[in-house]
Amino acid sequence: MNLKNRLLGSALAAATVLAPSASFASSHREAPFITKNPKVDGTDFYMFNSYEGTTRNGYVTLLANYLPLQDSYGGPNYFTLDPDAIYEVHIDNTGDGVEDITFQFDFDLKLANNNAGVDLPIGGKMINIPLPLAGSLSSPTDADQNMVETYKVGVIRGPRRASAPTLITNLADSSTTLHKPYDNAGSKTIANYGTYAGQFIYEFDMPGCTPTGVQAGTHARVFVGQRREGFAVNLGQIFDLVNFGVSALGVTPTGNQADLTGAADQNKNIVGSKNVTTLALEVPASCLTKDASSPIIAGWTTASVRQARVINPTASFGTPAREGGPYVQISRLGMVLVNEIVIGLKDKDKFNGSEPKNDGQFADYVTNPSLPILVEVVFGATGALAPTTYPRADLVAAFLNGVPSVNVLSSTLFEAVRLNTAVPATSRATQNPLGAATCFDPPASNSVGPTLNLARTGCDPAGFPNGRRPGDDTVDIALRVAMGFLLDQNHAPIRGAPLVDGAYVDARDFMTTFPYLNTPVSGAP
Amino acid sequence: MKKLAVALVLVLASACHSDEKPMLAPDSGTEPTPDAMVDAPTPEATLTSYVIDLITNQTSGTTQARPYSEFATLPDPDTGNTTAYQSLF
Repeated sequence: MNLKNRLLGSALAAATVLAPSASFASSHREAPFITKNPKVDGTDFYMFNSYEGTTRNGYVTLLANYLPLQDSYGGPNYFTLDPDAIYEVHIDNTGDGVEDITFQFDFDLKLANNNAGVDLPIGGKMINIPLPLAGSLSSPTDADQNMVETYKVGVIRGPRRASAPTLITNLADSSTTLHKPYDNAGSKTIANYGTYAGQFIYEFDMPGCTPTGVQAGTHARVFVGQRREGFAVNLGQIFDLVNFGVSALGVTPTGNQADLTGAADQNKNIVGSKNVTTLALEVPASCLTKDASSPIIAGWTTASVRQARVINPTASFGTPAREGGPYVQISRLGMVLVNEIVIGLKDKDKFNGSEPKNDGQFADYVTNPSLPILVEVVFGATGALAPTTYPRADLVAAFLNGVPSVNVLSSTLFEAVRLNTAVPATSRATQNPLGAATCFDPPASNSVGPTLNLARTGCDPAGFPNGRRPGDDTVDIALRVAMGFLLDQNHAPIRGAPLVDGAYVDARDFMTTFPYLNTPVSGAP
Repeated sequence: MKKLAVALVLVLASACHSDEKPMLAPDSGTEPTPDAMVDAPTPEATLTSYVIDLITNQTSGTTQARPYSEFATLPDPDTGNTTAYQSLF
């Protein structure tokens, strides 16, 4: 197989891995055990070359979303993160499936007045107020905030548990303690949430790195806070046994049912009214790569909790429980949809606790994926037949190794988002929601495979699966690839169907600047 | 099972004491001989003692998680004892 063919095959495989199935939530409540721990439930991981403008050229943006499906009105105790957990973003720049750089976020939650909280004089007594604020908020250190969430970010080089983190420092005040904004309770609490949240973007210089390839005087940035859910998916219908019409195959949609072969945007993004909590970093690419001649990196996010937790029978704010022991990873997220549509239910919790270097244990789920068959079970009578090539060596290449000539980091197989930091970012205005999936010519045969064609109309090589941006419509890409868009007709009977879930996503719907994901939905008008 | 529990207690005890010497009874005065160690009554490890040791002595950012097999079958005699973990608070 020549290089181009291998590239196409890999791309197809990657798309298939991401696509087929009866569940398309990126990683929202995807495994049984994580549903008991929503604060550490990783939902999406984005990694892309920053496209904010020329002043941020040479930077890579990393976004790790946690705590899914937040209803904006969910107060009075909104969506704080777990102060006993650690949240991490890992970068492998050598291709061995072991992190070379880890950004470790460690949160703290305290009441005002040294954890005593705000008291008000009531009838001659000082009474502790029941709410997390005593008035409207406008700044990170607002005196009216009764419950304050802060965090520190440490950088670890080498295996994540081999050494202690080196804390980053806020360049504005030399502090290592950073503040997380209060969630968007409503306009009376926070008059202009965008302006308010913007004060929580901190600049820092990455410890141990002198960056190159970035504009002089610029610095790395970090932000943690609530954002509007950026993932677009028609979740309800998907989980209702893929309850779609397929007009192109004679299955006419009824009622409010979406059409799998209809318009890309059918206003079916049911999660678009939800919020998530985003851990955002923007770091010089040169501080993430191994060296100037090795521009490809692999990334993923994890969350870990202490191994033991004992509930305090006489709980207080500071000690509702005692947690201790070593950290144990219970959430893992790299490539979108993997733990939903590839990993079997009995192994989903195992996957969440696993490390990329051990991904060989999940190989059967990739070589013999079950989800295309599940789609066929639902729609097979209409002619929506699954691809027939087994074992799926193409999926192995894409799922565990990257796309040849684009973002292969090494010959070692492991699951992660892979990004070629040398591929120039595509501007927000010209991004294609179908990303790099648009850069392949149809295959002449399955043995030849798809062909990379960078001159193809709409080709956007800076998008998924070369990294992942907020505007990449990974669900539609997955749907099409799952049913064989990149395979030949003999092995994928409906390969040419422009499948959609009716939930549209586009870079132009997101913010123009870091952290790109939109301000959260307000809890009140 | 009892041998496993005893072994676990010894491992944990050695991990908790930097001098790596066996624990002495308060009034013993001298270190026990190896034979005395074997014959001495040893408290059986329980899930309670395991958890307390984990939290008290193994909380750090650089220690590896303990395997499930290490605590999966430990007896839990404190299911009705609401003060079993009181020493942690």
